[in-house]
Amino acid sequence: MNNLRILFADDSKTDRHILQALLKEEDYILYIAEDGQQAIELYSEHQPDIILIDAIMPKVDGYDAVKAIKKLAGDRFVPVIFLTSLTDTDSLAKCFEAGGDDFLSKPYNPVILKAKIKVFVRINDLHETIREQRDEIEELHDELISEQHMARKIFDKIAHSGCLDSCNIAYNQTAMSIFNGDILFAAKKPSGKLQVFVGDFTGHSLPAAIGAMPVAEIFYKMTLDDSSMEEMLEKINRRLNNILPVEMFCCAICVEIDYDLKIGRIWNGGLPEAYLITQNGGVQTTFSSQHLALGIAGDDQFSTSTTAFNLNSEESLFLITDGIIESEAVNGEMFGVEKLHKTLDTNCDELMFDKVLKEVSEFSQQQTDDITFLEIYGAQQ
Amino acid sequence: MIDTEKLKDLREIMAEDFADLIEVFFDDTQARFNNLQQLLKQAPVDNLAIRNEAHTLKGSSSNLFATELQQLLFKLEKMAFENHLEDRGDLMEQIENEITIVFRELIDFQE
Repeated sequence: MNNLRILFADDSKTDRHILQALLKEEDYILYIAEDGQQAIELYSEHQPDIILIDAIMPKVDGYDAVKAIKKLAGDRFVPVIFLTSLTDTDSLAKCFEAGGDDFLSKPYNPVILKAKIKVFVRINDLHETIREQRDEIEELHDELISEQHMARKIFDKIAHSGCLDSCNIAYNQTAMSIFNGDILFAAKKPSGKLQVFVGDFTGHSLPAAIGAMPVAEIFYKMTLDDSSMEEMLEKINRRLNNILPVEMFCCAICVEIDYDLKIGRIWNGGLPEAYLITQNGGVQTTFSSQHLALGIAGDDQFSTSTTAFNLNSEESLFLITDGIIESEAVNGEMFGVEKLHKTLDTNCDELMFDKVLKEVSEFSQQQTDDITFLEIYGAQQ
Repeated sequence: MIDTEKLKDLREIMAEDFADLIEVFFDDTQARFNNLQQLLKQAPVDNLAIRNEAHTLKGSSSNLFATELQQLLFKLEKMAFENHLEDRGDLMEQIENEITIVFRELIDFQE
């Protein structure tokens, strides 16, 4: 360890002499000031570890010098011990107000002086350790954020939005929501059928994003291959079952819509009910989860049975993850399934999608951009 | 008067530096006392300068265990602080006498 560096300021030559002699035996490096101005100058030049300073001195007094030094020190901890004749409590209070950490009264007691210095060295070391760890945490945090941005870029290449932006679909999802564990894909099969996948990974952040990558890859590849929805779900389930740790899985809904025949098929594994509604309000049917989430069951237990439905041009399919239901009001109340059901069932003269978005925003009084939901229309809007 | 018992401890700690210390104390005290006399002659009187000078001298007296001198200087410091220096009476003479006593005691102590 380096020698402890002590700045000490006293305008009395006698007192400087004594203090110097008292500290001589220890391997301290001493910087000695005769007034407050010199103390400030010596501090900015050497940044010593500890300061012993007289309160009343010519030019700049000890109080002002300490205020200036503490300001110069910023978030570095510099212990200050005021050297004072203990005659009135007012000046002591002033010492602490100015930023003093302790005081030592005259006549100096060498044992107490050295003990106090040692205590502050310990506090100083502790403070330094905390500061270093804080900087380290900050650095790691920045690194993590930049890694997530990088991961997002890679993820976007693989899990592009497909035909989500086509006019049959209205959806709400943020750019960063992949790190909430929600995924949303849509693509047209060569046969013209629309295939949509909504997923909600347990877990958040990078693990969810990594888990989502093979899903995106399989979804787009098999949709373009015109593979059946069943084959695709089987493959995704198998892949996730292989790669995900036990506690991680993906609740999902997969939908296929044939616009020529105005029919569709839906598979729901672990997500909240999907709604078939008339576009101006009115729930026709709901499709609750019939299956285990993806990534849990082995091939032999996994079921790909789907439910068929008609979808005429005045109707739409409303799909959600649990984000809407669990969005909280200020008082902690959740939006809940009933409220959503009621909204969807009530006549409205605007787009149902906009109405739900508005209601949830009003209810939770916060941004709803981390909530995933979408509406697939029976006809182009 | 000096508390010689306590001063012995300081002499032991300071060893060969002790003689220097006494020398410094003599010079410093004499210079500051002279300065105090000059300051008290000025009109208007500079209370702050007198208070600081008395305070510093009080501190070093205390460090050499010159208890009476320390108390007399504290009186002067307080008067200056409260702007009542006109009430000091013969305080400066008392201080001068006490300094003479302390100096003599220190010389005796060293022998």
